[in-house]
Amino acid sequence: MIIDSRYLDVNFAVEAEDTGNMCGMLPPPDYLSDYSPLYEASQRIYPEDEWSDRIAAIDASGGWTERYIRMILDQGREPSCVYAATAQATQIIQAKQFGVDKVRFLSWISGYRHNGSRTSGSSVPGAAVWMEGTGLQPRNDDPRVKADIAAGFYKHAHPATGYGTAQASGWKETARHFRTHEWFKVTSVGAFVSALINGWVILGGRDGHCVCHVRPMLDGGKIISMYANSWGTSFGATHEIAGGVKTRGFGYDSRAKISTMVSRGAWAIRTVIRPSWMV
Amino acid sequence: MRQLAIWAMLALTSGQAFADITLLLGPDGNPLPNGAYRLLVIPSDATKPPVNTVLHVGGGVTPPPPVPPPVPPDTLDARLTLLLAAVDDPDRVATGTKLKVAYEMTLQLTANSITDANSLRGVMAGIEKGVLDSLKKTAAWQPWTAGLGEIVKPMDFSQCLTTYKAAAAKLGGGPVPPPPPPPPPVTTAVKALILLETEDSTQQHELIRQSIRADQILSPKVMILDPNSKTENDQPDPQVVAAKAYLGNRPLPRVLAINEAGGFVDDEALPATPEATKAWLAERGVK
Repeated sequence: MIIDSRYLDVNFAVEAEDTGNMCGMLPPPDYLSDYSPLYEASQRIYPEDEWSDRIAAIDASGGWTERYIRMILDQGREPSCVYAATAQATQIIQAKQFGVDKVRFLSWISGYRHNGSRTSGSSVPGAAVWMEGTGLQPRNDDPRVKADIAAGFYKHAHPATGYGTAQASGWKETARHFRTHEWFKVTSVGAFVSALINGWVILGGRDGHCVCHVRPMLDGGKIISMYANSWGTSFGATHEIAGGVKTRGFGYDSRAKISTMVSRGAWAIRTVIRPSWMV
Repeated sequence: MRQLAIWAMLALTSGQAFADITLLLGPDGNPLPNGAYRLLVIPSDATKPPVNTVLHVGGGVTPPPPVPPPVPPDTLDARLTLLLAAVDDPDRVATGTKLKVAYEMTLQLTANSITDANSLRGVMAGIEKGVLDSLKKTAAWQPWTAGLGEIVKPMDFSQCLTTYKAAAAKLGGGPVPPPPPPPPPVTTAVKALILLETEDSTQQHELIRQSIRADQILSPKVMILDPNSKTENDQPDPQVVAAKAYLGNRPLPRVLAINEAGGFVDDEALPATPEATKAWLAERGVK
């Protein structure tokens, strides 16, 4: 698989400053540093000598979990990267469980504005707690969401961005339809790569920015991880997402960057809630 | 020269009884090849009979092709008969009756609790050993137990069950009922559910999932859920609960076919490949 080397090991802080984008990932607070069970504790970790063949099988299949992505997200000039990446990961898992056509786009700001300030950013385990307990509202610009509301499945949609936009009364009753079930913490390169091989998506951060990792790759025989950023389509390499659409928005992290992420904590989401109306 | 040879042969055999020798000679004086020739004479006069006869050239009777020895039919009944015949037990009838009762009782008692072939084989082998050990007939019945074990070894659950019932019937001296024809696959399904434990999922499972999700017609008809799936009210997903009740002890991952009314109509262990999975679904109407 040929990668666009311009987007390998991007320094997010520098890139954000240069392009007018935002980051927004904070280290986990101490009381949440061990919030999730370890991926390594219950999942098989593939030996490194298997990676090449397994990644070749992924390449031969034409793509991996990036093909569940409906669109690249754009957090704009708000430090909501953790919740944007969380929204992307949750939408990917919706596609896996229910089908790409049944994905509901999620408003990451509906969660971020309760877990960070206009300038602070937030932590990934904090998002894990939020997503397991409260959830995100669906986006008000998603036609499927409008149809759901018309059908009476729930009531409260919200825009994707806009820290200052108030949420409608009772919004939590809607957000609970869009929650994740369980998160795992990933603390080794082997676990990180193994999870990607098995089709999990991983939220990983460095340089103060969080992205959604979707696919393991080899570049000159060296392991790299491809991620979907939340800086819209003016950033990044082009890859194919759902529906055969090719879009920019992707980057790659080398082993060194993966090591950095897992040393600080990377998280994989297990499953999402299946709303009772999701048939 | 040939005619001289022929007369010489006749001279040598003169005085001896021999079968008629028929020689048909061609224009060149050489005999025609051996074989059967038909002589037809259509009379010009209706009062004369037509002639329609076969002339065999070669003198002797061509022996018919050898008939291969009959192959014993490879039916279950035939195999069980052979196994039983190999048992060297002076009390064969009595022992066989005890074993028959043990088989039948075991099958009846486990009818709702054992649903996989491995468990059934294990239980039945255990029962055999228990009965035969208690009668001190284990060695004598070894041809039967070993042979039956080999027969059921590659079978699925349904085939095992049929075979053990047939074995019980054989021990009872009765006719072995023919195995029931396999039920035709259900073709009335409209949707499917794949139950897949997330923590046991592998790269191959993801390949299957991706193949289904890439199929824009099939994908909307298939849910792929974890057995611990919950609703927005934190309650166990009712469809998953119903699927688990339907499956009983059948292990996951499993693919279930669902009809228009939402009922489960068929299920199978999740096939190993995307192609086999999609074929299984298509055979049942989910395509």
